[in-house]
Amino acid sequence: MSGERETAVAQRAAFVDGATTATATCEAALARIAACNRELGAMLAVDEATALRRAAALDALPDRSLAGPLAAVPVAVKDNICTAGLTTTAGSRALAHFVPPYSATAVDRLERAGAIVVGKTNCDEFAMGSSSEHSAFGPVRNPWDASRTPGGSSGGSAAAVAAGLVPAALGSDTGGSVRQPAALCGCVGVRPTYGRVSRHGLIAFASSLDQIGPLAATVRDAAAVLRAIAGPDASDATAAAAAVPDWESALDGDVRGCRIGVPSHLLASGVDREVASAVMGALEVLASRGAEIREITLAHADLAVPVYYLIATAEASSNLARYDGVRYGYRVGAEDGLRAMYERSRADGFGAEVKRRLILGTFVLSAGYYDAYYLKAQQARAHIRAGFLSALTGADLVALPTSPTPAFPLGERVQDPMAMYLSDVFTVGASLAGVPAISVPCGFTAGGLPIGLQLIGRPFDEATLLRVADAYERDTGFWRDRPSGPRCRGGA
Amino acid sequence: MPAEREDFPVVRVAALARLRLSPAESALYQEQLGRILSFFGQVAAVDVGAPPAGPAITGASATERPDAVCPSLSSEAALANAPDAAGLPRLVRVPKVLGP
Repeated sequence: MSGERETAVAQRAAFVDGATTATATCEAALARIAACNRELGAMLAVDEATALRRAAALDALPDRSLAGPLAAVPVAVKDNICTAGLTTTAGSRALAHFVPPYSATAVDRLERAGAIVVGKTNCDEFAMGSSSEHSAFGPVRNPWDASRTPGGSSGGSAAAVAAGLVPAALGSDTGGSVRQPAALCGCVGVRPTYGRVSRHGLIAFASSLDQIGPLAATVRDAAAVLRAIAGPDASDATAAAAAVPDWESALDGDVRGCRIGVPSHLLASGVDREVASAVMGALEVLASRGAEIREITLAHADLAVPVYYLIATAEASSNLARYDGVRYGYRVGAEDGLRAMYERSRADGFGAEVKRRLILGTFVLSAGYYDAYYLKAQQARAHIRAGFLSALTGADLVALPTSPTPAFPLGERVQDPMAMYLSDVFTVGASLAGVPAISVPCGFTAGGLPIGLQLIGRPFDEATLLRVADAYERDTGFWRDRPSGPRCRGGA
Repeated sequence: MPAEREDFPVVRVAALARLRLSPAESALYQEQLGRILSFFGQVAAVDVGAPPAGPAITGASATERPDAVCPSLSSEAALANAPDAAGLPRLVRVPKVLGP
């Protein structure tokens, strides 16, 4: 581990102070991508010309002090988030040549804040996966150990931040797809409250669960990106009308009196020893700052994985019905009729994991099985949400590992979908409950793999999450370490 | 009723999902999805009772916007990604739907 990370906040300050230009900052990011990406596989597209044009426009501002809160900050965007004029594949052959006619609201807001989108990041196809191996364009490799996955599905965004290609990136989190790769790559990842960030322009996987969230080197950077993209949006009826606080100014390091609940009953088995030890050590650090650690119970949490996969696949089977090879996307010509064209286009356009989930989701919605699976899962989901809200009356936050294991070897779980699904055991609960959560680096294994601490908060109380995570980060500074492996040689 | 591993109706469900599977894929998914459903069957088997009273499952309430005409995509922009729309203003070409 060597080399200090450059933060978004520092890059913006250097631009505003005149210490550097947006063009120089952007060129440095593009150079890092050119040096690292071939082996890392984190980026699917790089839009150098547009990025440098935007940087030049920022450099031409007559008064940089009026520049936006992310001015001159190079960012990357997960490839299931639409970018006008820039290919957006969602990691799928079905959308290999899809060029969106509009940008997602989150992307528009990032750019209005002055950020420079340099490219799109690799991901599991349609965000379905926990390892970023289910991409039609090849896997992403973990910058800390290239023989291992970066987690998923936002593995490209996490790897890009961890390797220092960009200080911040957007991901999407349906069942943990921001938090788990953040943990496995040693960066910060935030899943906002459902409704905090508009989903307009996010390619739908499971609409009652999908949320866009930031990945960044530090909590402060993540807060800055979240503030830029959050807020109501006329293009998304589920984007809440809640006010967007100034989260950055509330990062004061004070956690005195904060009650952090730990559901030890969920940690009794199935958690890697080094992960458990690092999480317990993190709680001791927070206790030493004045937080109160207490035991809690999360009712029905043991059902979270099956409930999540029953609901998410059902919603996916409906959302992905639109890929019929007619209006956009991959198409196989068929002389024997429309239905044959649908079936062949979808069979060839989708990868194995997407097909597996579409069949499962179609099954649980089908006559004779709907009540036993989908309806039951919806009922259980309401109980899981109630369990979280109840736990969060006696505690301000819930603490869990983000992932039960550190980064696992490429190929280890790809042929065993059940093992892959269980990677999400600690993240799907907050997704089902619609509550916000953050993963923050809390140490390394003896083999040098990052470990993440997950904190889960009350609906729309991202402020407490960010404040406590930032306080922890101040005392530990794991974020400062960057991977120094051969995959990042040549990086600045 | 929860499906068992050996009787997961993979061919019928794949047809409902408009997916044409190879025999090898059908065999693989039959085995994998049967195993997954055996595990997920714990949800079907558990008595969770009626959902608790409270806000919607996601906790979000829909926000509305004025019902007014707004600028939108042109037909050309909306169809720019269509695989077979060349030379067809505002139309896409599909295989024949009706018989001779």
